[in-house]
Amino acid sequence: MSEADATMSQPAEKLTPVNEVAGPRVRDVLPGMEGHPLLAELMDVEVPAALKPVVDPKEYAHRSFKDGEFWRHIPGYAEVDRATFLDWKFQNKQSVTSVDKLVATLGNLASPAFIDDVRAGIARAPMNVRLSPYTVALIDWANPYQDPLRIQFLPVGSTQLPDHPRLTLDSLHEQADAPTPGLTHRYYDKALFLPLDVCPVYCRFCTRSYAIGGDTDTVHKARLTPNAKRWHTDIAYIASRPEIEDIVVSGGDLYMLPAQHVSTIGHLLLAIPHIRRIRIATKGPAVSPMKILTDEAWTAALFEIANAGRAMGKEVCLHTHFNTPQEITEITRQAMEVLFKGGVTVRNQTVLIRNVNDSVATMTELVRRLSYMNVRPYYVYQHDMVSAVEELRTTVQTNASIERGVRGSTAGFNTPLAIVDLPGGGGKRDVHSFEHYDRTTGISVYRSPAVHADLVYLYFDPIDLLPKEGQERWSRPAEHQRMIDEAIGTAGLTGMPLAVA
Amino acid sequence: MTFVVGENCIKCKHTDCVEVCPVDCFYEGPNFLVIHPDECIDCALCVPECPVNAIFTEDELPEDQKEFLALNAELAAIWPNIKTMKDAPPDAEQWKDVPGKRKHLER
Repeated sequence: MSEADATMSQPAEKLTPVNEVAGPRVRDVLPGMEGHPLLAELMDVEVPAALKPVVDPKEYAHRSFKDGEFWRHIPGYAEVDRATFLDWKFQNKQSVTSVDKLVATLGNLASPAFIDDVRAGIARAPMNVRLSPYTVALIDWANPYQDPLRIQFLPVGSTQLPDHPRLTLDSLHEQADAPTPGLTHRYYDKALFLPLDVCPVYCRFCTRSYAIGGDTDTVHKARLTPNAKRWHTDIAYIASRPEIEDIVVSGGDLYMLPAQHVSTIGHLLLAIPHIRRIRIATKGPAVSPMKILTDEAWTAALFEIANAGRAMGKEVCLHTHFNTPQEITEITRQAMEVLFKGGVTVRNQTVLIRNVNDSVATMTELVRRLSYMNVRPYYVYQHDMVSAVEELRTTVQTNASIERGVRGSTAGFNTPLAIVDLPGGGGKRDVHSFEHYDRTTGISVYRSPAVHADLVYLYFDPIDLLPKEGQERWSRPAEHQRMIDEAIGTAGLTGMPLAVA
Repeated sequence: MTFVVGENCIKCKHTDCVEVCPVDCFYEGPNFLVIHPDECIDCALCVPECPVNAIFTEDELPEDQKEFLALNAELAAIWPNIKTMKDAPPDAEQWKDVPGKRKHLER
């Protein structure tokens, strides 16, 4: 305080060393803030000389949020005003769920050849299509093959690759760890509760394609329909296991449940004495952020259970699933601000996807943009070994390299952990923690002592990204077991049983 | 896939279902409700809400009610949307589970 007073009360030249030009003052670097009640007294303070070069404003691109009526260029939404577009029910109801509706919505924006390609993609996909108008409006339909949102949610036939020979439908073995339908208990103190099996969007790479999103031409699913009787059975199991402190509510997506059910489920879980933390996992804010702003009852229900939990000394938070900077707009920023001001902690889990976010530049921008909105970047997942999306997977090396490039670009608590959710149910491991990684065969060997101490787990890189020698060996089925034995042997784990036989 | 309102809704029309629908895909006629098959997201929330168990998945529609699949599609295109619950007809209880209600459907 005294230093500032001195600066203001004396002529500037008396504070400036002889023969030196006075540097900028705070008023020069913070224009328009002269009237601020606290900053006013700093306005004449000289700014210390910088040791670093001036930063190109392009470095702040993460702070620019797409705004305006960006949906109007889509023929189907040309007449849609802001109030209608921000209505969460409009987003639900007008979602594109068929090729015919896509064509009707896009008009001449999409070429007939592309539409034919989509038809071919859907015929083989394990997930149905469901695109909110918000997502449709953010896709660059002039370049749909490169667009990161199209790649995530709308399959095409022409880019599909054959599945890896070691791939299974429920790769994380969630059903094997489910004592009752919709409740998976894998980690010691945590359970996964799936109240329903529909989502506001269907990710092509869904790890739960064994159950979520309804039957497709290629997959008949184990349904997890929302009903109180099943919920009570699942919660009865949770009540019977005093070691469980942590519940992840996912699905399916609580975004699709009416407010009264969100409230009911939240309060029931909070009432169980040993439950300390509830995480609601939702894709919703990535594809329909306006729901937070316009479905007042739903947002109120979320705040109500978060506040009830806080009063009991328990945490209720939201886990989002943003994968690219492109899906985050001014609508998202406002929605996240509502959650932040309401005291709900929001963390983000990203899936690393080829041609979507598999570069240091994209991941850094995503991390910074999330941080700017007070959404904590928590995980970057290695893409699960899911059927019919081989062209979306990357190598373990890609994940490790991106982690190395991103770490240090912002604060550590805003830097996501790069992990692989081990096929066979080993749980999430730091991607770098492999016992051995053969970059030629693409086989990484992991252990998960806290989950299953006596098992060994493998992740397989997509074959088309391997060096020629690795691709050649995978083309010969007789080599498959030999490559696996080699990898386990080099890891020094020969004889230890494999989680996925 | 879609859910379908079947025969037992006729003359009962409790409308509990419309309260829970996340996409407002119910449409209302004089004494019956239908689901718009292109709007239904297959979430099943409405099924346990129905006091007379009139809602089925397309696959589980009883053999003698197969025509209701097309009937829902046809009427949803004509009837007005219903978003909020309203009182059931005063004689709804008397019509619960009465066989052969199909002939009472008013358009």
